[in-house]
Amino acid sequence: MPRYRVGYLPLFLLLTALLLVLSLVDLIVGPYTISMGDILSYLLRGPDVSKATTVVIGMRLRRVLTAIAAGGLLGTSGYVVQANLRNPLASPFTLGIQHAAALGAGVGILVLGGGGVVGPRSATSATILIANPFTVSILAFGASMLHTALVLTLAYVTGLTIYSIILVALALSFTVQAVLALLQYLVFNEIQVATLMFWTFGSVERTSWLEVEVLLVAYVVMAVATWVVAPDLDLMLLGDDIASSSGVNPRVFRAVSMSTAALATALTISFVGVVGFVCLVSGHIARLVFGWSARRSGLASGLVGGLTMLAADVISRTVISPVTLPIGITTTIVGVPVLIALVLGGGRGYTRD
Amino acid sequence: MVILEISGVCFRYGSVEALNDVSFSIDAGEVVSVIGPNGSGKTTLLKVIDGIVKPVRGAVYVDGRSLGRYSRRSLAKIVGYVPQRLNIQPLTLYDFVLSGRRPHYVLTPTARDREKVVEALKSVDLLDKADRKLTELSGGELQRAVIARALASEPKVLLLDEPTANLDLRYQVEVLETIRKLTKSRGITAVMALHDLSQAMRYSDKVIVLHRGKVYALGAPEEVINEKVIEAVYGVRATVLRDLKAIVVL
Ligand SMILES: Nc1ncnc2c1ncn2[C@@H]1O[C@H](COP(=O)(O)OP(=O)(O)OP(=O)(O)O)[C@@H](O)[C@H]1O
Ligand SMILES: [Mg+2]
Repeated sequence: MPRYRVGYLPLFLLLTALLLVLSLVDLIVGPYTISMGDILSYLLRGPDVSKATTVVIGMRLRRVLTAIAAGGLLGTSGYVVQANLRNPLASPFTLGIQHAAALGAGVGILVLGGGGVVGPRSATSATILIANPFTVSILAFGASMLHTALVLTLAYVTGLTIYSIILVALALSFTVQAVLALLQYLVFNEIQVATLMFWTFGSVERTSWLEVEVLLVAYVVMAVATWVVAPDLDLMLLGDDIASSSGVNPRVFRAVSMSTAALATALTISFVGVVGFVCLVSGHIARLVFGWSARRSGLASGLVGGLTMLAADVISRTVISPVTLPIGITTTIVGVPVLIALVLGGGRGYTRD
Repeated sequence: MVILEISGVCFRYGSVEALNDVSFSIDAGEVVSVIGPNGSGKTTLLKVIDGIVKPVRGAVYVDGRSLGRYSRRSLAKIVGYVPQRLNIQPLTLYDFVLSGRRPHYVLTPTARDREKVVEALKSVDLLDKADRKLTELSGGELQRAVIARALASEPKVLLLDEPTANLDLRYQVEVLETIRKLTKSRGITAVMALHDLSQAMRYSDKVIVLHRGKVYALGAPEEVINEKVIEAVYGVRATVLRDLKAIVVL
């Protein structure tokens, strides 16, 4: 019996192993050196408050888990949206939710006085603080969900086709961007502008343990759900008529899966800021390595997303240490070369047809 | 035994009237050809039968039940559809045909699903290309792949939209023979939109001529396909060579 001559299990194991190795690297590197022994004793014997390393490991573990879960959520939702819109350039960001999230965060920073600059104001020495990060996250999340609901409702009225979704999303995101620009122009002071900018750049270090747990649970749920609906994603890729004739209502499926992906993305960017590139690129890398069947590349896109975020975090913290670069910038540094290499080397899926 | 009944079906795309009061019925095991000029409503008719679009008026009954009383999924198990066009993606041929089994399994394909995929691929001579990507198949191979995908779901009614387009002579004959064999051996009913009137004449038990969204003529191929109908519907003068079952355009 055929098929699958390439072993996919080894590839999955390799990805997971890479994830573990990068996690270790991310735990070890940094201004404060941590040894393998410290990590082992932390993991095996539990946090020992009398040790200085415990605090550092705890902090770094939080960012490692945040990177894995956030990258996983972004990668998986990007994949789901690409299959739904049958467009390799699409992602939840096509819906414009990042602009809505920024608007929500902006309002949070403004109304709740959520921002402030500590220390002398220069790019490398000042520490910008988001005074009330949880409220800002919740407002960002609320705004992006509201935006998604609006986009999908308007698109529903016009038939929930691919084009109606993209056009409506485009129109609404420009509106949101205009409102945010207006706010910044008329109302924000320089500190508030800087704080919002800082929020937008993205960071995996502002999550609390509670938020890390929320992200991890969301990632597991999203991964399982994607695995379950993978055959339907394949059908959607082939066209609405095919999906319909194979028993899937394309409009319902599109509405539900797009909202889920948007929810996952909104949750993630509310906690870690706008890290758009992972969303766009993970699905492509996963498909180029694992093939187009959603059963395999759907799950892989989450792992690839996590890997990209972890690698980006390592780079963020080492390039001009002790300053940490925003992860929104470094993910691009990691992702672009990988994508270009794959497209030049093996990207036949896109260049053909 | 009537397996398919269409009664008074009307359908419009905005202001375009694609089907106008179409009625007919089809017996189980029949091969039916739907012929008619471009834009006469053949594709639309097949989509209505498969529940992909809903008629504005009239009803479709499959196996005695109106379409409204089927869930999309239970209908998908009974009716297979070979579309005129689809978005090809770099899925492997195997995964593509497996996607045709989707209505039959809940979480993951079973051994039986995989068996049916292999069987379907064999019946169109493509088993050796199972690991190829769809984007790496020729036009005719792709056409056969789409047919295999529909066969894999073991439908009672098979709807085929121009199944011989893109095929070379040998596969045109082979695909039509396969369809005929399936109808005889498994009692499958086939409804196909065709452009080749000679093929319609040779391979069908019944022919439906659509003209501007209406049924212009309906019946046994030798009765329906004649010089008068061809001239009226296509505006072309032709001769029907009855003993050869061939149509020659003059
Ligand atoms: N999505 C659509 N929107 C608007 N009009 C449509 C649409 N699809 C088809 N039509 C119109 O409906 C009519 C019937 O189209 P249909 O595709 O059923 O014709 P057909 O008989 O299959 O033609 P062909 O032989 O070219 O495949 C045509 O006038 C066509 O222009
Ligand atoms: Mg057609």
